[in-house]
This record gives sequence, structure tokens and C-alpha cells, in this order.
Amino acid sequence: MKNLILILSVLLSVNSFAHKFYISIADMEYKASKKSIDVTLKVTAHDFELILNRKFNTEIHLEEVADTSEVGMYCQAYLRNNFRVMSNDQKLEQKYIGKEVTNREDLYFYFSFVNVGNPAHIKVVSNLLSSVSDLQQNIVHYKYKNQTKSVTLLPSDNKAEIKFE
Amino acid sequence: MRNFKSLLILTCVLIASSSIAQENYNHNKFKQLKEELATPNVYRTAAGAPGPQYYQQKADYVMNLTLDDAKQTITGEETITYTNNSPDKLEYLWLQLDQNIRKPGSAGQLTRTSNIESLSNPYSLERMFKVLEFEGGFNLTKVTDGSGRPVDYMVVGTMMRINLKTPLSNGDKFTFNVNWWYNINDRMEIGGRSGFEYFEEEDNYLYTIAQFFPRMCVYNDVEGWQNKQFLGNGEFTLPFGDYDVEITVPADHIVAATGQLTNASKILTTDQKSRWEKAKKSDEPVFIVTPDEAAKAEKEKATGTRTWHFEAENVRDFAFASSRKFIWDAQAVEQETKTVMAMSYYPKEGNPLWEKYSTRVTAQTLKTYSKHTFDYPYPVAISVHANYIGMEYPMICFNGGRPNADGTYSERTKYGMHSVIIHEVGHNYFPMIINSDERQWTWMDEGLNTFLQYLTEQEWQRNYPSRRGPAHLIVDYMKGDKDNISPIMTNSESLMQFGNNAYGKPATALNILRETIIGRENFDYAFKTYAMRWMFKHPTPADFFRTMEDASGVDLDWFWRGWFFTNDHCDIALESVQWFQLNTHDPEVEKDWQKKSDDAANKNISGIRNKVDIKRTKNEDLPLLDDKYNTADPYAVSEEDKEAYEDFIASISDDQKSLLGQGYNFYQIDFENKGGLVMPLILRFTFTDNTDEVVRIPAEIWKRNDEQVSKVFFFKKEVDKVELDPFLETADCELEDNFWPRKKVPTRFDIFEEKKGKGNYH
Repeated sequence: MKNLILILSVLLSVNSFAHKFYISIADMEYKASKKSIDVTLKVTAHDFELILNRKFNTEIHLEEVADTSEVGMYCQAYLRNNFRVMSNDQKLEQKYIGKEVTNREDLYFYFSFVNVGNPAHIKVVSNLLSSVSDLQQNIVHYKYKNQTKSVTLLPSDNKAEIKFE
Repeated sequence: MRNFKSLLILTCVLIASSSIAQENYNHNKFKQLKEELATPNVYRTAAGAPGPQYYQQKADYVMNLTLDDAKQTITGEETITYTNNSPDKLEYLWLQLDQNIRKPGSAGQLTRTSNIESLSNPYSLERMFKVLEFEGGFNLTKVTDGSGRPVDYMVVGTMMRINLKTPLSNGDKFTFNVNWWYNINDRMEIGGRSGFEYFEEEDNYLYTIAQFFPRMCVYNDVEGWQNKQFLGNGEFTLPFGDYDVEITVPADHIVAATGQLTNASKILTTDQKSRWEKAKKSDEPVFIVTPDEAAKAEKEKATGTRTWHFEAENVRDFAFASSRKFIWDAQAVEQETKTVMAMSYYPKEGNPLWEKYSTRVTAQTLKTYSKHTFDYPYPVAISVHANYIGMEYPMICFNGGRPNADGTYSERTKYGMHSVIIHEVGHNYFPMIINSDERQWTWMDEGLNTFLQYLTEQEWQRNYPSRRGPAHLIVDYMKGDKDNISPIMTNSESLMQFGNNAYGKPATALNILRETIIGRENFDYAFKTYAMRWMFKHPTPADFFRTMEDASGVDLDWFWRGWFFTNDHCDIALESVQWFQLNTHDPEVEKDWQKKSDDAANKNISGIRNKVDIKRTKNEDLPLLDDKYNTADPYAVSEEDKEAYEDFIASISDDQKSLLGQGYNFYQIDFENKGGLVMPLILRFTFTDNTDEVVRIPAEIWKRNDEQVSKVFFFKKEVDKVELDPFLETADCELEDNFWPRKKVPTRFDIFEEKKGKGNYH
């Protein structure tokens, strides 16, 4: 056990200055007309590519990934598995809309959670990019009826509830 | 007894809460920073300049290095001459051994947190085992004094103490030798700021060697010895000194290093020497080693060795790169006081990006940075291509940005490569020359450097996609939950979100000072003053804060407090706008105004319907019911009205009379500070005739109340709408409450949805 702890820490020590971001920001907003929560998720493109490179064992450039391709479908599955929202103890269905990469190294994913039972009280679970770095912070801003509440999820503390009165 | 108990609990609660909130304490956001900053003294003045007794130590090095390409090791024989310029007696000296962070079980490795997910793929597992197998760290083979006698020393993690026999007094020098070697790490397999990249197909290595020799720590009036352990994030600070370094490498290797090559006549071919002479007069890159020459060396693999000799004056460190794969180009950069060389070394894998951009971008960096600081004082500025990383040393830096194998590259790769070169070359100024303490404060070099990086990018290409600098780009980071954000003034090792905290936010803060708080010309003067004052010296945050304030004449304590010492964000709301006009007391004017506003006012529903439904009223059928009350025109001007007005006019002065006649509109605007950060109010009033006027109010409007303020604005024209922060310069995190009347601001989701066409995903 002692050795395992050492092993884990050594692994991460060497990977930390390749670049210095390790952050995702999800801007979520409840849309009463659609009964859905719209999400704009910003992650560092380079980090996400690292996940894809490891998965497919080849160098992948997000600019060239079509949503309908195998890699594109994997991205969507990754989002479904690693960014979940619950309402009334029900896991909400995630509908993918699209993605966009900018020259500033930002990768945006757009998706919605639909059929939201109780938008005033949700639970968010995020494991986004925690396989890249233990320093990853996943920030969630949730706007409901003109109020915004925020939480920060970490690999060691990956869920939070957001409740509006 | 029961009552007593609850009283006791109550008392405890009260004490606890008052000690946290410190209710009777001065929490004013404009309180000066006397408690946060060190008291000025003879070493550092209250104006932020070096004081009359400012001192710094000196460390000179003579080194003989051998790079073993077969075993990937480096061996050094090193002689250090240390000069004690401090008034203090030193009983011991400290050196840093940064390579020891790669020793198995180092504190840097042990103190990293981790989670099991990061092992959930074969790549990470493989990498982990390679890290464990690697035998890194210094092997010290000899430590002796100037006359060859062993010196007593002790290694403490990444630090090493020399126990002096006789203390070193002011003005004394101590010369000693350290011999060492270590295994060079494979950067591609286990990472690192330095190391090698192996090109398997052709069996060649590319070495980028740094933090590679035992280096003297800084001793000064602020820290004593800066001997805080190297844990991986807080980089370093080192005393200035002169270096004389001989590097022995395989005979066909090309070496790039800190300093000037002093034996070029022995090393370069005749052709290369004449190209070098040509480059010295060219403002465009010229090949010194051509792609053909590099391709030949790559294949032929010469045997034997060759020694390159470099000398560098007044630098705080030394690094080098070596490979037979290197293509080398150079150009002259003319400055007011001296002409210097911008140069690049890269393997063919960097092309076509590198031959086209690297040296030119390096030259642009020197031009922009020098304009804002001082002329680049060193003879060369070198950009070396090393895949994936960006890391800086004096005169030389290692930069990523590699095209695809077929030579194509994405826009993102291009701008990523440009930005990293600008950034790392820029580090020559901060912290190599303006030698701040990185082990303590990452932002002092990264933040200031990222700020000038932004200015350089914008001078390089119009609308360059800079990641950091403009105020609105930091909003995502600053808004919302504060649990996992640390203030900028946090030690390098404890920072959360390194990139945003130490690079993005301080760079943005400086840009806001330049654009909004101080103004471009005045800011540039103060910033240059800081650079000139601390060139080749060791500044602290207080020296920077004080100089910027003292030279610009703008009180910035509130700004440093808010942006550097707290996590507050800017969210100012335009809560309400009320419109007033002056009562002229003139019945002709006022009655007419009354009629117009009554006509314009909404009527109640019964009144509207009755007008149609009730065809005739009794009174209308029977005029004899009329008297003066229901027939008089309420808007007519009576004799009494006129007399009252005459009395009023007689009672006021001529100036007051003319003011009444000018028809001003008055607007009281209430502002609410929701984010905590006090910032200037920038307002754009658009009038009904579609013209506009911008009003800029300094942050001091919040000086008594930092939560709510009101202010009256007046114009001859009528205001149609008001916008707060119309030029996105204060990093306001919520834009929807910046408009009157309220306006819906499209979110990125809306924008994307619109682009895709509505509804096609249901």
C-alpha cells in the first residue's frame, strides 16, 4: 500500500508543467420554455486531445474530428459518462448539440439536459479530465431565474448539490 | 443551571463570530497597504526603488561539462567563486540541487496529491513505471575548497549547505569546487523542464539541458537565504554572476547556450563563418547551419568529440541545448544602444513553422519588450525547438509547437508556437534580468511577462488571438464560487489554477491599469521606471506596487488590495435610473409640461371604456349644470400663477435664472456592487437623437460605501439608454445588469444554437 501511494504521486509529479491550466467551466442555464438545462462547457483543447490520444493511440486534432466519426461519438459518450446532472434523484438525459475549437486553445462543448423535473434543486457530478491531472478543477455556474450559483468540483470531491429557494 | 449553560453557549458563539468578522476593524477597500507590505528601509525605499544600502551577492562559475550521447549522462567540474556583498557574516552557504527532485522519494514527488483515475489507462501506467525506474538526481563526486581540501557539506533534499570553516564577512570571497554527474531524463517518457527527446527512427538525441549544476541560492535582506525546497512549481531565483563554460559534445553536435560562443573560429566551417558575418548585418534570418548540413550530420553520425566555449556576463543562470539535428538561423536586431542577435535552433521536425517564424518572432519580442523596459542587454536571444514544453533561461529558451509529420499544421499549433516563443523569450526580462523570486511569487515574472506577451502579440499581428490580457477573457475564472481560487499573493506552491492565477489574472490586472485606471502613457512611464530600477536586481512585490504608484501618482492601494490580495470579482449593477427635470416655476412652461405628461400617462381601463360606452353624460345634455370648476382649463395660466412666478423670479439671482432656462435633464443612477471588487464606473449615455457621451468615474466613488452608490448626471439632451462598462474594460462578470433599459446578453450557447439553426437537434 505504501508503495502504491508513492507510485501514484510520482506519476503526477512529472506531468505538471507541460502546461498550467487544468480547469473546465460549465455555464448552465435553465430554460423554462424547453424544460431543459443548456450547457456550454469550456475545457482546454490540449488536455482533451490527450485523453483522445491515449484512447485511440494516435495523435488527434480536434479540428479534424467530425461529430459523426468514431472519435466524435467517443467524445459524446465521454461527456455523458463524466458530466452528469440529477434532478429528483433521476439522472437527466444529456442531448449533445455540438463543439467548437478556438485558436485560444479553448474547446467548447454544447449540450442540454432535457425533461428537468425540479430545476430549482439539482445535483452535478463531474469527473471531467480527472484522468489527466489531479489538479483539475471543474467549475459549474448554474443560472436559474436570473440567479447564478457556482460550485467547484475536484477529482477528490466530484459532486455537489445546487439548490435555489 | 440550564439557563446558565445556554448563556455560556451564546457567549461562545458571539466571541467566535466577532473574532472572525472583526466588526470594529477598518475594512474600507481604500485602506492603505501598510499592514500587508514590509516597512520601507535602507535597502528598499517607500517609493519602491532600491535603497541607499541595497546590496546583492555575486556568484561566478567556471565549468567543464561533458555530454555523453551514448549513455545520456552529463558530467561537470565546477568552480564557484562567491562574493559576500551583504553586511552580514555568513557561517554557511546554500546551493540548490534542482535535479534532486527526480531522485526517487523526493519531497516534490511525495507531496503531490493524486487520484486513482489517473492510472486508469495504459499510457499512464507505463509512464509511472518509467518514472519509478529512472535513477535521477545529482551524484556529487567531489566537493573541495580552492586549494583542493575537502569541504564539509550537507545535502538537504534539493538543497546543499556548505559549512564554512571561517565565516565570510562583508567583501570576502570564497572559491570552491563541486564535481558531479547525473542521468538525463527522457522528456517524452517522464517529462521535465529539461531532458532529451529521442528520435527513434534515426537513433538521434536532442538535449535541452538546464537546472543542471549545483547553483548558489540568493541571500538578501528579504529572505536571508532563499533555500525553500524545490517542490516542482516555484521555479527559482539565483544571484547574478559571470560564467565561463566549456561543453564537450559529440563532434557533429551543434550547441546553443547562454552567452557568447568564444571559439567560433575553431567550431564553424568557413561557409558557416561567412554566413554568421552576413547574419550580423541582416534584419531577416540567415542560416548558419543549413537544413542540408543538418540532414547530413543526422545521417553520418561523426565519431569523436568537440568542445564549445561560452562566456556570459551578469546572468543568473546558464542552460544549453545540443544535437546533431540542429538547423541554426540568426538575424540582427537593432536597438538604440546596441545591436543583438535573435537566433533559433531546431530539428527538421519543426519545419515549416520554425524556419519561417521562430527567429522573426524572437526579434519582435525583443523590440516590444525593450520599448517597455530597457534595451536588451545580452548579446543573443535564442529560441530552441523542444517538443511540448516552454521553459526559459537567460538568453535561451526551449519551446514547443511542432507541425504534423506531413508538414501541415493547425491554426492553433501556429499561434500556440508564436505565443510560447514570445512568452519564453520575454522571460529574459522577467525574471532573468528583473530578478524576482519565483520560488516565492510566480506572478512577479509570469504575470508581468504575460502582460508584455499580450502587447507583443498585438504588435505582431492585428487581432492576434491572445489568450490573456483583455479584461473580458478573465471573467470565467474570476466569477462564481471562490472555494478553489487563491489570491494572486499566494506562494507559488500553494496556488490553485496556476495558469489563471499567476499568468492570466495579473496580466489582465496590468492591462486594466494601463487602459483604464492609469492610462497608457502614464502607465508606460511607471512600468518602465520599475524595469529600469530593478534591472539586474532582486525586486519584491512591494517594490513593484510602490513604484507603480509612486511614479504614476495614482493611489493604487485599493487596486492591489482587490486584485492581488483578495478573490473578489467585479460585478457592478446599474440598479435603477430616475429622470428629473428642473421646475422652472414658469407657469407657461410648467402647465404645458403638465399637460404633455398627463396626455402621455397611461389611462385607467374604466376611463378608456367609458369614453366609448357612455355616449352622453347628464352634464353634457344639460349645460346649466356647469360652473367654473368643471369648465376651467386646468392647464390655462391664470393671473395668480403669473404673479407667483414674478415673485419667484425677483427672489433669485441672474445666474440661477439662466440655469433655469437651459432645460437640463437630470438622471439619478443607483449602482450596486455585487462582486466586491471596487472598480471605476464607465458609462455610455445614448441620447434620443442617437448621439452618445461616455463618462468615466474613478473607483474612488466607492470610498465611503463599497456596496451601493448613487450619482446624478445631467444633460441637455434626453437619455434613451445607459450602458455600464461599454468597452469591456473592468472584467465585469455579469453583463445583463449593465444596461438600462435591461438588455438580454446572448450567451455562448445561444450564439452556437443560432449558428446551427434552431431545433435541428431535437
